[in-house]
Amino acid sequence: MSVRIHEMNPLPAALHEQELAGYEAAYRNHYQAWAEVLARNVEAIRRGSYSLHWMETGEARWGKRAKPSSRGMTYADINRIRGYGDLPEQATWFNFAPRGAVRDRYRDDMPVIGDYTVTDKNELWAENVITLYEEAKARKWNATRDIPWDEVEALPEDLEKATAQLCTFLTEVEFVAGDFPAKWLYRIPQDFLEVKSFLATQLMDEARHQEVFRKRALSCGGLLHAAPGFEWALAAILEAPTHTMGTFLLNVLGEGLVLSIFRSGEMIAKTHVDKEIFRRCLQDEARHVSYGVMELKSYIAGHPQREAAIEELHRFCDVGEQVILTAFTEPALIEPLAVLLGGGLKYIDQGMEGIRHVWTMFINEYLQRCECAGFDRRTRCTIPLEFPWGAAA
Amino acid sequence: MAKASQGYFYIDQTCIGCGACEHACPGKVDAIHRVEDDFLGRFVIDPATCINCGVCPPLCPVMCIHDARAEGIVEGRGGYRAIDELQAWAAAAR
Repeated sequence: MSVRIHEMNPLPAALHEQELAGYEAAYRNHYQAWAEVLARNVEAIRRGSYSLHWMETGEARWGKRAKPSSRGMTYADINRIRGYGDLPEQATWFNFAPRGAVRDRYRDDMPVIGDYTVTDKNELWAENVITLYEEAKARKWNATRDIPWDEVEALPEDLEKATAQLCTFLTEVEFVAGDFPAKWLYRIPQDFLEVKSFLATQLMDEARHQEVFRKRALSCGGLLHAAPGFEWALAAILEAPTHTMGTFLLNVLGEGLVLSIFRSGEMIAKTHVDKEIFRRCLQDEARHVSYGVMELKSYIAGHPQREAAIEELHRFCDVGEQVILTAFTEPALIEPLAVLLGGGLKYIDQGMEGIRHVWTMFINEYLQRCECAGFDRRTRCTIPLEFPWGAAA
Repeated sequence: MAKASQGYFYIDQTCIGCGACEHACPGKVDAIHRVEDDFLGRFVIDPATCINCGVCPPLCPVMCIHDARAEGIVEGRGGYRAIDELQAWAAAAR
């Protein structure tokens, strides 16, 4: 095998010798099956011998014809065919062989990808994931062309700086919102292809969001300040040890927070261009929140010990509520929001009244998401239900 | 062929606009649409075309799709109504 690797095209110069040696050793020590299959195939080619085993249909689910619905051919349509739509409660295939293909007989000849660690359906499935995927494709938009950039007009300096600061903050958030599905996407086995497909759209959505907020900031002045406190909260989301906990922290809580901001966009945005940006991002964000809530619902419903699952979610909430508190005490977020809601720096106090409503709105929306997922957080919520602005005064 | 009966399912005002219901609606029926010019991107079910198949309610993450026969007509409750207060505040502040 190592001979064949040496015969390949030169590898990039930046690859260190030690890493390359480790990579080669892995093939020598652990990938004998590949070498055996390759040797068999090379020999067959030399003999001029056909296999044609791939035409055998005895073990295949062959002869069915998937029928499109009037919406086209969706995953739901093809999953109606027996054997193709059966999702395992726990994945046992850790390679790339598609669900429904003839693969049992090749199991021992195929690699095992150790990074596929999210194996339980109830850790990732959501009843609405297929329709959300269709919606994501139908609602895709282009941050280059679908925003009327040539109609952007600079606002008065205080409002422009507030808008730019909000865009800076949202860009930070959208980075982690993209990294999170990217981190987990490749840990999900192929048998859950519908979830992987949806997460791919989420990743694209977040790329578009960081793009649109970056472009908006740079269209009239530039980016402003990073939010160090919130960086820690974002890191806590990204480093969540399980997909379910991360989904709670990101989709239900973090994206829920952003959804609340976007839903307030009609009052925050000062121009039709900014309103259009918020409106478009809102519909994407709603899908991510929707997936998160339904995934938690699935987690509780599919857990062998429902009460234990709910207690686990409360532990997620204990961390997650610190994320909320961090966001809503971060001056790089609430002050520009207050300036925008109030209508200018000199109306910032009035704007803080608006923030009080945004806080109440967010907390209530968050508690409703928990309730819809299947657990009541209201009595155990660790952060104030009312905005504590000036409470110590 | 004309529909024999009126649809009973409807979406209350707490819809968050995720659209999970839209693509659950059988394509030939296509009774669920985004409300035009609604900033919050909410959806509505057309009772004239809804066939009461009941596929959409379980997919809603905020439980805002109701069967009028069972629940009557409700405006929606819970956290997603809290935006009303912000909107009222903003209107008064103008």
